[in-house]
Amino acid sequence: MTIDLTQFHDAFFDESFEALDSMESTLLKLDTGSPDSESINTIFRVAHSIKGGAATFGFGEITSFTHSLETLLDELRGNRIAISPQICDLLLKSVDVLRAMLAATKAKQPIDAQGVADLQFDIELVIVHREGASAAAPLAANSSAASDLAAVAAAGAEQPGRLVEWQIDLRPGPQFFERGTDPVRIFRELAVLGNLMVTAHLDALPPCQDMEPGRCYLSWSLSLVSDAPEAAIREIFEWVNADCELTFRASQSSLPMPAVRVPAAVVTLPAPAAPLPAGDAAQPVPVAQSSSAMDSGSIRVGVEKIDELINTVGELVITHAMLSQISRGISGPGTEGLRTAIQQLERNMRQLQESVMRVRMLPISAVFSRFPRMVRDLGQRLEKQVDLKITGETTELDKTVLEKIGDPLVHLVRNCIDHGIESAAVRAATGKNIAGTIHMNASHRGGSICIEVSDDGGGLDCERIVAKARAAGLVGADDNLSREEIQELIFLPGFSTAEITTDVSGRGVGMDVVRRNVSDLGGKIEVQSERGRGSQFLITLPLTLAIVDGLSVAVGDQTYILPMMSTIESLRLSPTQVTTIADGREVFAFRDDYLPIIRLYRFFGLTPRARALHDGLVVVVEGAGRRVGLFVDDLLGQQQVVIKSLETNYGHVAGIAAATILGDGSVALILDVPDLIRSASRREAA
Amino acid sequence: MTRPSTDPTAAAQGAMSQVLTFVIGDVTYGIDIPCVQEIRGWTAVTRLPQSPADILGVLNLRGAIVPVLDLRLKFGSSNVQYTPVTVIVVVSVMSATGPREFGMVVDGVSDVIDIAAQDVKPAPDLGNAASAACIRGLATIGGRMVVLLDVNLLLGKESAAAGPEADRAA
Amino acid sequence: MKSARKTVRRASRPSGLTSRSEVIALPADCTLRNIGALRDRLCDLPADVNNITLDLRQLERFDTATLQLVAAFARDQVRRGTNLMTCGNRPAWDEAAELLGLTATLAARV
Repeated sequence: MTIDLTQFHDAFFDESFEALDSMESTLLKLDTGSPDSESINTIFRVAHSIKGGAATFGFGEITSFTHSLETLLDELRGNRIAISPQICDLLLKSVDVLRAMLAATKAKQPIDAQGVADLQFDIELVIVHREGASAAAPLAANSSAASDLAAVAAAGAEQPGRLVEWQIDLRPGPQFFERGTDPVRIFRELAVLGNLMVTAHLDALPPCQDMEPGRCYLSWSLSLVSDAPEAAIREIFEWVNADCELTFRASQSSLPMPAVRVPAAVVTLPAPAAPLPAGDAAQPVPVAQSSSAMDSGSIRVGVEKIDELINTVGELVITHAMLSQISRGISGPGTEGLRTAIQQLERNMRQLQESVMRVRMLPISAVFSRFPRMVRDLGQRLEKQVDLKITGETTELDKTVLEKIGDPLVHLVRNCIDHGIESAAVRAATGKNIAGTIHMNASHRGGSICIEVSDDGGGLDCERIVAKARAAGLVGADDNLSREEIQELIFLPGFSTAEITTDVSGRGVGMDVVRRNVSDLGGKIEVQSERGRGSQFLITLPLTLAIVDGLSVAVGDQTYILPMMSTIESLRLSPTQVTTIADGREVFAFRDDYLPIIRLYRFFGLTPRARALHDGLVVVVEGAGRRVGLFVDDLLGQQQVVIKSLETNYGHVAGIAAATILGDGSVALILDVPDLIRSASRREAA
Repeated sequence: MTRPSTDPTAAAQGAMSQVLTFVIGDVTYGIDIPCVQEIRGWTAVTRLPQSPADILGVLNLRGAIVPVLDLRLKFGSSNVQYTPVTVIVVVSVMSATGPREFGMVVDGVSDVIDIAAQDVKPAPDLGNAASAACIRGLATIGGRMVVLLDVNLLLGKESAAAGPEADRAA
Repeated sequence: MKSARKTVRRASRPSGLTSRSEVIALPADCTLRNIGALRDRLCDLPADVNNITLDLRQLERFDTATLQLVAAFARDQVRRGTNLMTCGNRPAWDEAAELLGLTATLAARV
């Protein structure tokens, strides 16, 4: 009976990726000076469970690699190899390689076999060179070392100590090598268990020029005299791929043996990578069993199911808005009861909406956890000492936002290490702690998420920024800029202050891309910096991409929604507060600043109800690092709206982020404030 | 229908296809029934800024935001009015990104007729008229000429995604 | 094995007056993925070469596939009556040969 194991693949991949994340974070926390055994055990369990899953599904390369890794970890666990920073690096690299292998296997892409083989080689080198098993005499492992190791291998089994001679025949198929099994590794492990004699059969080996590269032509007969329990010997072959014939025979030899516990019988192992025994068909897979997620009573649900749920709730929000609009327009007996019911409905609906939204929310630790590793590697590469402090990692945000915020954050942190944190020498000279600190923090603030990335480095050099911006023609020679304005310059396209282009920050990707990524998520990024003290980047993001808190404004016969996150305040201007400058642009004074006015009816080509500035209202909005006043006819109110894509059936429209459906069933457009500011200024310039 | 409609070659050789006909000015047009989602009376639409003149705006179609194209404007009518009898035909077309829906404003819907494939004649060269690019062929039904349109080409480049940057209305 | 030895004797030519030597340096990486290139290099020898030295000093990475290929090559050359030597073997190479039961086949070395 065969069962279709592919149905469990996704679970295996998900679990494995999660397990690797935890392995990585454990490794990073590992103190190589005095490693605690629990951490090593955790790491070992990860490798073991991935190996088990991979073997179940016949992912030979992953099985083989994790087997080597597990062997190394077992040595570490048994204190036979000391944990050094080099070993730690090796283990971290293994995490990367495993991630890549899993990703490739999941995508049904070829695995980078060379990269895997190189690392596996390094791992085995460490295992081979461990104390007590010198490479020069691997076969003649002296009896005390051998029995020590055998005891280890037999840990948990019954009394060891009885010598048995094992006859093992290995007849690999042609694809044995290509499926990721290297016999030399298996034999090396066997040699550790006792006295191993190997005979190679070369009769199938063709002349050199007729050989197919990579095909296996050899077969072997092994004789192992060992006191290791059968299970320990079999375990070594457990992860050999299925492309081989393997026979085991325990024989009574002339060796002194009181009794042979294992009856002398030929045992032909079933292909180890074959599916589970038929009786266990309903059991998911070992990986699923070992999952802690299962223990805590959670379930995995496809994102599309959640999105469907969210869409339906969105429809419900709109239907509710319609109902309450209708109820306001009617009168008569029972109206009061109807309104109360609708209010009750609203409360229930908000609750439902919140709960559903929370399903999509994930802690930001999923993203933050990438950084310890990155900071460590980058610090080493740039020869800077950098400590990373992470707080607020339990802050939850929408899955989509979470997926898209990683890249901008990586870029910010890279920038901090590359340009922010000074070299140790400079830091020492300025009386700072030699190790720089980068602090990442996430928190909820009102209806949005704040992510802070700050460093205690050199801060932004305003003079250099201005010089650079002048040279690039980004600002005029006479422009007098405030510190905030100067700091804003770093977000302009084509701006980079690095004197030396390092391979870290590179060329081409600048802070402008970070800002665009953030604003694509409906968020904003600001910088505060003090020369010599460091910089702080503050990213503000909406909680979710499905709903936005909006201010509805009227322009002519149209209603537009301004995201609350972009609005600062609204005010009615008197004619005296407005100055028309030379080219017809209107500006007004706002908090020590002059802001340009964008008349929305002009921008959208509408007929307004208010043309005189004092007849309508100006809403001060912020986006793309600038503030402007948007002139509208009137404010209609503040409400949460469900975001509906315009691009599904139409396309992108300049200045418009999306659409929503109002209570009366009509469509209102949600403004994209940064884009609006950019297009408006482009238009004025033209 | 006498032949299995699922066989595409049979359809091409002589099967009947159902066509929805509508009028714009004094011309009768036809589009394939399967792509028609619904026919609805005129309701005000929400304007899209900086869109081509024939894109009137968007409306809410069962929770989806659907653009509305005034086919009369596209085909060069100058005298267009929006009255309660003005009709929007909502169609669905396949695009690279999946199915797309849009509404077409026409003067009125006439009929659903059967047209045999062999009765469809290729369109004469109409030069650069906006309608020329979207014509699948011509057919004469009951002495009346019907211009068959390919809806996939109606919301073409000049009207759809690239529209916003195309030029500035007002 | 024994019959193979017999073949060797029969096929061996009198290694006589002309002696031509060739040194083949194995590159650093001879693992499975590069094995094709190594095979081509080994097979691409002039027919009159009768002294071959395999230079293993640069060899860093290898696997059973490498040893299998070199074993086949060594056996072929012995059959042809060529003198085959290896130099620069590292312990890891010898250990692997031993583990795979190929020491005898690869025996000749400097």
